[in-house]
Amino acid sequence: MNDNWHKIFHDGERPSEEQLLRYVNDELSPEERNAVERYLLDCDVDADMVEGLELLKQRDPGYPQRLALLQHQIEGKVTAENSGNRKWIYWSAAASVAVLIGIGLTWFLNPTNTLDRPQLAQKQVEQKEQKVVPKETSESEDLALKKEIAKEEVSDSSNYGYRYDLSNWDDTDTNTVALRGLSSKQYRVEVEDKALFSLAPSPIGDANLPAGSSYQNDFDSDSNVTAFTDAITLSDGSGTEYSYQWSTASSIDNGLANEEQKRLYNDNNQVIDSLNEGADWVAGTPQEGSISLDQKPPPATYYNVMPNPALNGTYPASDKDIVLDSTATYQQLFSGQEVPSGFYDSASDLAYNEVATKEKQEELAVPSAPEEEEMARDDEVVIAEKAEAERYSIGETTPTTTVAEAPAKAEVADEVTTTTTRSNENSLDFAYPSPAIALEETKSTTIGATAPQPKQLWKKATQLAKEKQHQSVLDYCDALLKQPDASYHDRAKLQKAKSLMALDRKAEAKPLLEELSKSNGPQKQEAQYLLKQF
Amino acid sequence: MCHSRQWILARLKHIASHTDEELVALYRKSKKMDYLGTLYNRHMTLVMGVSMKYLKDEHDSSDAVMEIFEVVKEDLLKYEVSYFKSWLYMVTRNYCLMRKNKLRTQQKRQSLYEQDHRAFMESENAIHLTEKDAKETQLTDLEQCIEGLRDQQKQCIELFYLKEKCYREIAESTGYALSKVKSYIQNGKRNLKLCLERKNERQLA
Repeated sequence: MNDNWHKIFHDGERPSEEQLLRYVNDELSPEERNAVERYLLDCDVDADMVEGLELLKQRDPGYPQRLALLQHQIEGKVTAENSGNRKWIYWSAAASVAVLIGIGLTWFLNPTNTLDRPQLAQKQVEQKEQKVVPKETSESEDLALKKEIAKEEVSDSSNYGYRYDLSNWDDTDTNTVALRGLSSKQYRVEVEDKALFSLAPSPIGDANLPAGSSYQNDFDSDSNVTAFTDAITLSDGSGTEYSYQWSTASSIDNGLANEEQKRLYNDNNQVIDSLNEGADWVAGTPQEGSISLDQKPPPATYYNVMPNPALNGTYPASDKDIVLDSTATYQQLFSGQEVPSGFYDSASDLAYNEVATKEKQEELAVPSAPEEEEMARDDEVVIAEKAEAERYSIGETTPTTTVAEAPAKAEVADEVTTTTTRSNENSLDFAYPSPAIALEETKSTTIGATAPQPKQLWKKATQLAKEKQHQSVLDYCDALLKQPDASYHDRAKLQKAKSLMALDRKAEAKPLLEELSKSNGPQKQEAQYLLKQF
Repeated sequence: MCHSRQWILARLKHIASHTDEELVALYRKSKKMDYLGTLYNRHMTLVMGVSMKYLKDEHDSSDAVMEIFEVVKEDLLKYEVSYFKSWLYMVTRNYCLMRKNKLRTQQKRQSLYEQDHRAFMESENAIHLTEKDAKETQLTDLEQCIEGLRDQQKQCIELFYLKEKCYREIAESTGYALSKVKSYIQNGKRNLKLCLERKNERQLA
């Protein structure tokens, strides 16, 4: 009797989720389909998933985008709750890892890839020293991890930044990077940066990404405010470049944050909110690490950031080997070598931290404003900020956060002294103005303010929206729409529409969405998406 | 101290490198949302797919994904979860069934969950036993059982297991509808299992 009969009651090997999604997307050979089908006969869980996804694909052929949007919504929830705790924000990139695993692969993987993978694998392995980070099982081990990583900051010679040159981008290569001889766990890690790229939730429309465009992403931790910043530079071919930047998460995670940094933090949150509504654009060279809120809306054309298979012809096929050009190391930085274009000068972070620390110390030495004056502002935000500042200044003196890392940090600081001056000139001005000056500005404007500013109204509206107090959101949005400053009008309209939908007043939401979907603003995409729900 | 990029990257790699069960434990212990977020997004496709199967509506399913996240957030702290994926599947399915049947009270959800959990554990055992037995069964028994199948089932089972054809190829070569092919194979396999169990019992007797 044929050996194949043995297979009837043998559990098929569990296909990866990627494989299952490729099954749904009809990207498998008949033999591979048979293997998946045999497995599914034995696994109700995955069979249900696949059946559902097949139905989903029928109903909504662009379902990967729907899934990506959902991932981002979950991410938003996590970010919101984390902001409550203000402890950890790694969410953005962590989510991108999951996004990748969930959907990215099937969408971009192409079995016809002709890369010489084993060879590349070798290259990758040589290029990158994989570090084994100890498993974390408790808070104290968390601390041990911190300690270990603080040490690594001094001695680490692994890569820390990437630049992808899209002129050489080959979508068949997008997610194969770490398949080259690395384990699946490492694979997830390896591609996390790319996942952000490939699965940015297409806020920018459908046109092709022009050759010569580039993408960068960065984890920005200048100034004690941790933010994940991504930037895409798009070229329209006429020499004009547009950079698209967004910050996907941010946090004040230590005791050094001052008022200015908190203001930036709150602004970052606003960027997070606007991410869901579209993108902010600015013409010119991207400035890594900077987060600009008042960017002008883009000109008429939107670009799709996702290098989907249809873009195949857009990129030169000659150079398929897009080995990540990530050779800069901390050691190179410390020895004063110039950092190649596209890499982030981590020395500037460290330099900034030194400045920030000093300024914080000076700030602490200055007697604070009388309490009555503070309270007279009668502003709950101010009270919250104050409470927070107290919390963080307590945190600063707590042994658990400082003792472990102080020695390592001191060493780092010593080593970068040589680069400090240059970095100050280069990057601090645009990224974050002097906290001390900005603090003064913030105080004078806030205390003197009588009429609510659009920004404050918007902040309140988004906060209420998170708390699902939709009726109040409507009031704030109406107030915003009455403001002469039109910069928040579109956002207010979208938020109003969302709240109306939440209140089941769809008829009122519809005209707002229709108006937005006809506009060329960053809210267009989401408005169109929401309109489909009618 | 301000975390450097290096630190954050390492931390990210660190979170993503955890298994489901480790993330569950870390979330239960620390209640940190980034653990839960990583875990949930890792399996979001499952939630979406299963919701789609039961709710048959993409908008309802999208809502379900968001709402089940809230359920998971709470329930994961309440219940001991050994196998996250299986548990998430049950939570999702129950949520969808409840939503369909408008059984919205917490109590009912609770009892449904418990019933289902027991049933799930039992069925797991049953499957394992059956499979173990089946592996020990003589191929001749299997051959006889296959001969005893109805023609359509036999034909599809042979093509599927012997020739390793996929559903679509079988549908094309036999002219049966795709859904029929699937059900012939499912039913055929079940009949084979029953047939083998009967033979097995007879031998034991």
